Amino acid sequence: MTLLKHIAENPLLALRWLLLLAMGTLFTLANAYFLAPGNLYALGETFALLGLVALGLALTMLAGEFDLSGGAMVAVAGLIMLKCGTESALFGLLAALGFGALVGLFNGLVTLKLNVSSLVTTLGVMILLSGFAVWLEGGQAVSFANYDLTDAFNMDWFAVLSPRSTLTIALFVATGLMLAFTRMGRDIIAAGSHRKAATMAGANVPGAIITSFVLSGLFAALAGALLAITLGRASSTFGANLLLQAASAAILGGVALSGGVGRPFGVAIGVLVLAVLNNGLGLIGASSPAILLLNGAVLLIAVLAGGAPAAWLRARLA
Amino acid sequence: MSTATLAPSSRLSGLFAPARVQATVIQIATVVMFLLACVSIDNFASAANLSSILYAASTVGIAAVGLASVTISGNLFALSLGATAAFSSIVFIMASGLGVWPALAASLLLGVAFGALQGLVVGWLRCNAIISTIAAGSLIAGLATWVSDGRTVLAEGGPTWLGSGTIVPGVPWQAVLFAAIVIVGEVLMQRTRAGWELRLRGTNPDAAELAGLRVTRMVILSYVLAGAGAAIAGALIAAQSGTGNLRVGADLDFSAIAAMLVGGIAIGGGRGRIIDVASGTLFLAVLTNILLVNNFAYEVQLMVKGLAVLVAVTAGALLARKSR
Amino acid sequence: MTKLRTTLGALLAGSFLATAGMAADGAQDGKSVIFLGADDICEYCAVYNDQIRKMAADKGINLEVVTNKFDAAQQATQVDQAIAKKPDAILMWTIDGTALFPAMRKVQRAGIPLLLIDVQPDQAREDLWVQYSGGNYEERGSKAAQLMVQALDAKGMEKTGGVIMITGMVGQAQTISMTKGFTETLAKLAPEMEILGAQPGNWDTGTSTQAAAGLFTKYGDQIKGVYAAEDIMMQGVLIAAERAGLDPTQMAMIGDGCEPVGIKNIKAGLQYGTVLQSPVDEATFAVQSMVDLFTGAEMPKSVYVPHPMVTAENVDEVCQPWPTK
Repeated sequence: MTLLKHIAENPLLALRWLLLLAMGTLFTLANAYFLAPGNLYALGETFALLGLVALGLALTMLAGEFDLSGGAMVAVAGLIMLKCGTESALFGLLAALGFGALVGLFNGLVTLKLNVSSLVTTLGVMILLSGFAVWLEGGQAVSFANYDLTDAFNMDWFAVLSPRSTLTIALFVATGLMLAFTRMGRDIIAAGSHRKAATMAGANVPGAIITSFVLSGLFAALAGALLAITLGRASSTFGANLLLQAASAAILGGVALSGGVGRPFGVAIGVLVLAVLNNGLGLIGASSPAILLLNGAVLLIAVLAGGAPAAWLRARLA
Repeated sequence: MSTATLAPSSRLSGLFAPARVQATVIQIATVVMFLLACVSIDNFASAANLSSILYAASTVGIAAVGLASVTISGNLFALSLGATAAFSSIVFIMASGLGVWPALAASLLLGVAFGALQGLVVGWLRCNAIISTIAAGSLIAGLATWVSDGRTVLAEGGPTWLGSGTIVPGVPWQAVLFAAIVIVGEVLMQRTRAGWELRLRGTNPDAAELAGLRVTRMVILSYVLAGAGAAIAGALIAAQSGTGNLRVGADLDFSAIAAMLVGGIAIGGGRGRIIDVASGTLFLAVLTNILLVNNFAYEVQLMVKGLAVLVAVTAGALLARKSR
Repeated sequence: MTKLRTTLGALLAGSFLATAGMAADGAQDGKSVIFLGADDICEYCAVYNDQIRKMAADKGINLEVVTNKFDAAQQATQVDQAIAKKPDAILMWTIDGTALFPAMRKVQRAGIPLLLIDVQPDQAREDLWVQYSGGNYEERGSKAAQLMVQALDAKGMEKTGGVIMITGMVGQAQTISMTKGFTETLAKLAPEMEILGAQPGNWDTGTSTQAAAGLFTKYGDQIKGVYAAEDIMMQGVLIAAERAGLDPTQMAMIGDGCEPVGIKNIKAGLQYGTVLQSPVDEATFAVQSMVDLFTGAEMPKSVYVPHPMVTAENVDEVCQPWPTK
């Protein structure tokens, strides 16, 4: 009965697990290789790329804002990584991260000073960044000849973990701890739930908003830089599909558009749902229309759990 | 902040009231930019170039007008417009053998149906507006892929009045249709009970519900309008080229959002008029055309457009603060 | 039933004859191959995917088609996935010429033979794959330049003046190669011609219409020729020309791909020429590449599908209509 009650109280959480479990079972039955270490490794790579962008976006959503520029940042950061990293990869990585933090700072400041919805300002930044990516690329194929580093990033630990997926998981844990146990974390959540009340209660709301944008820029830049190292290549076309997926994953993961609600753990599950779905569909060789239809169907099922049907269920079980 | 509280003192101060200042500035900027381009760029004012601006503006603008009803009613934006336009372009060409009007009707019906379904999910079932429309976009694209097998459909016969006809040189029929839709939309939004309820739903959803407004029906209506706008946009693109395929509308979603926001529609809902959508669309269309006509590199075009969105919104916010 | 039996009989007889012909023939029967290809959203890809499914099945190859959304990161994870499934071979349409090198190294380390199609990566790394079969993007651009010069000759125009280009999506390897082939060859054959402007058409008619319209407004009468990297983009150029009041028959309009809309425009005299790359040819070559691999035939590193230049004179014989599903 407690389980039922728990489900009724948080139907989305239960549904995420159910979806994950159901998809895992179905794909395993459909293709025995679903649980093969190599495939789990591939799943982790998808998780790493989408997860970092979704985590950053989720942080801004928690603070009551929305960062649309993450997908475009992936392309720019990758290009900076390879362009500045020809001599020293570390320098390239730092340059990319620095740029990400700077854009995040800009997003945060504009949002704070102008008191305009960040959905609007980051839309401008998103278009600006995609133009910047094309400019950086300069009509050439930007690639990386340092295959030692690329190989190092393509190795595996315990057959299923890559350096990227491990780092991503670590960042999810760190962000979760930050939100739960630090003053800054509580301020971010407070800024998203009741901004005025939080300010009056002495929370550092401006700091929280800026921190969430800087982290969002950093995470997206990290995702882009790591992708560039892993592929040995950067392009202005990279990351094009990421924004919508990251938004889906965050909301699927229980982060509310209105701010203040959500946890990194939930986001991780949201990312996993999408990653498992597309990994599984690729594994069974689903056709193009089937991939689109099933993606839509899964999102629709998930979204229904957040709406009136779930409220009805909650009322019946309470 | 709502338009209802406009100071009646004078028309001019109304134009520069905090709620209207961004829209007014963009309207002035569009006219100034247009006039400057006319005198400084060769052939800019030629009939051919004007029609090319209007073709581009009409398709994005019609989609943006439909989308604005969703935004004004307080549901941020829809991300299924591109997919709807692609499916609509395919349906339009498939039905084009029956004539322009039946084909347009078929496209419209498709858009209305998809819009109504999304409206039901968001308005009646109270589901998250963003994810619902992302899901819908994926489902619509899947259906379109399945129906078309990924193939481009070609129209039988030659060009039609809708695709390439002009009412006077420089003004295509598509622009006339766009203007008509803007006028109807403006009247619907500003002068009818439905429009009033829609705006109020965007200003304060809870109050609207408590006041006994037909909130659910209004949300469904807004998505029907968005679906219809996207479908007409898709049909117009198809009519221009005589082809329909899955690539149509690839960047329609973000173009329409940008046009609407630049024009002065508030993303949070309740504020902005349909006429603002038209000026935002024309602003970006003229700007894009100037960049293209000067053969600026693609990256410069993107960066200028991004800056334009930022500057428009920044200027709007700063001016609104000053005049408050 | 009788009919079925006759068909089966014929098939058996056929395969018997074939087996008698060459010892290893038929070795591909029952082999499993994973094909990492592109999404049906591009028409060429949709036709290709349909064709290779059919042709591989005819040869008895167990082909699994996995598509990606023109996303190199997604394809790289699909390579990991494919390796995990231990197929007899991997056939890959590299969505990006360079980004898949690390993934190809993994395939090599896993000891799975790799065949490539459609996009040819840098040949300096050709130790990573057994064979590349398919088109040559640079050659296609070069052929388009040859066609443009030929068109100017045919129309009795001088080889001076301006040219504009409508290219594919910025940043894609295909776009870079086609542009390179076109510009280099044009500079060689008609050094007095100048490329006035280039804008991306993003493989889309609407985008190309707007891009071409802007360039027509700016350069108008100076334009002697237009190169659009795909016929469907040339369709956009033709619409823009009509609106600008320019006569396309008085310009060298060159497209690419022998696409249905290109065939229509060439027959109508609006477009001078196009360059063939047939999805049917490419799929046929890919299946042959798989058969050769399994039968142990000798395999050159690169096999190219023909890219004949097409004009109104040979359009009917060269451009076969694309098969429907």
